[in-house]
Amino acid sequence: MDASARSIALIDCNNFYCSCERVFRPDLLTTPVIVLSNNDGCAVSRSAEAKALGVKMGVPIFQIRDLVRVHGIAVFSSNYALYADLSNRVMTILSEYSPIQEVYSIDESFLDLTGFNDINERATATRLSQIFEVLGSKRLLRFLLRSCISLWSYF
Amino acid sequence: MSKPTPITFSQAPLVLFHAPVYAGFPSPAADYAQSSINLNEHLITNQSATFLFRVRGDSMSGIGIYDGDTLVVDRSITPKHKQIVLAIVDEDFTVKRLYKRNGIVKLIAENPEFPPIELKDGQELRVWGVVTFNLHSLLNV
Repeated sequence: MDASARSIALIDCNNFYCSCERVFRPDLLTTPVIVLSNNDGCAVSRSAEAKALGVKMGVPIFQIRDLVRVHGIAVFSSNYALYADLSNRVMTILSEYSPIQEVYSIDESFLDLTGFNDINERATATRLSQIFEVLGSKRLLRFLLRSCISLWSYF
Repeated sequence: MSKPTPITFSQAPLVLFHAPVYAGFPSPAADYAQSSINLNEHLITNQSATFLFRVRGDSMSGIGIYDGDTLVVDRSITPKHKQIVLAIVDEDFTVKRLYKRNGIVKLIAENPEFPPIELKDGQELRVWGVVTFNLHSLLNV
């Protein structure tokens, strides 16, 4: 990849709340998992298994009661203290890969990789090594690399 | 939506004076006070990958890990032979000593009442993290 071009990485954790809940629940590794919004209203995070069962983003829980029962979907109230803690860990690790980081949300971060001549190696390392150590899921991160994009500006 | 409160590692600011305390004028030794002790620095190498776990059960009492103790677990350490690990057996956490020699992998308890856990063919050992410290209270032993 051309190192002189503006290169911004967008790191986005896969179904972050569900991944967080699974960190301390090894029994749920292959079970469909959903996390509900405040006051247990709607599904705001769905594991890949739950998505495959047709649980839509933001669906009110009362509309999928039967689905939850039939397929044994694990349902969690949101635990923002847990998500914030794990998010801080992920962001701290990501910050080691670039001097310029913009934390965009609890599970998304931009990294400016402009000028690095080992961008692909960094992308691979970020996706597969350290974050895996923290959250224990190789599927956690989706890593997008774009050269010279106007998506984000620091000025 | 209320702002989430991060779980932070609380610091223990202990200042170490190498002199008795004088009531009257400031101790000249105060100029030589050491920097405060941060227990996190002693107990944690990689903060992003370190978690605390409460022990339940007696299977590791032979090496001084008792029910109710708190374990410091580092996920960034690659587990090696003879290390104490937090492993996942039958979809549940367990603390054991890792045995990894000559193609044989098993989890050994440090208590004769608990047999070793041997991995069957095709069964994958899942180590969640490596235990680096055990915090055991000696107040009410």
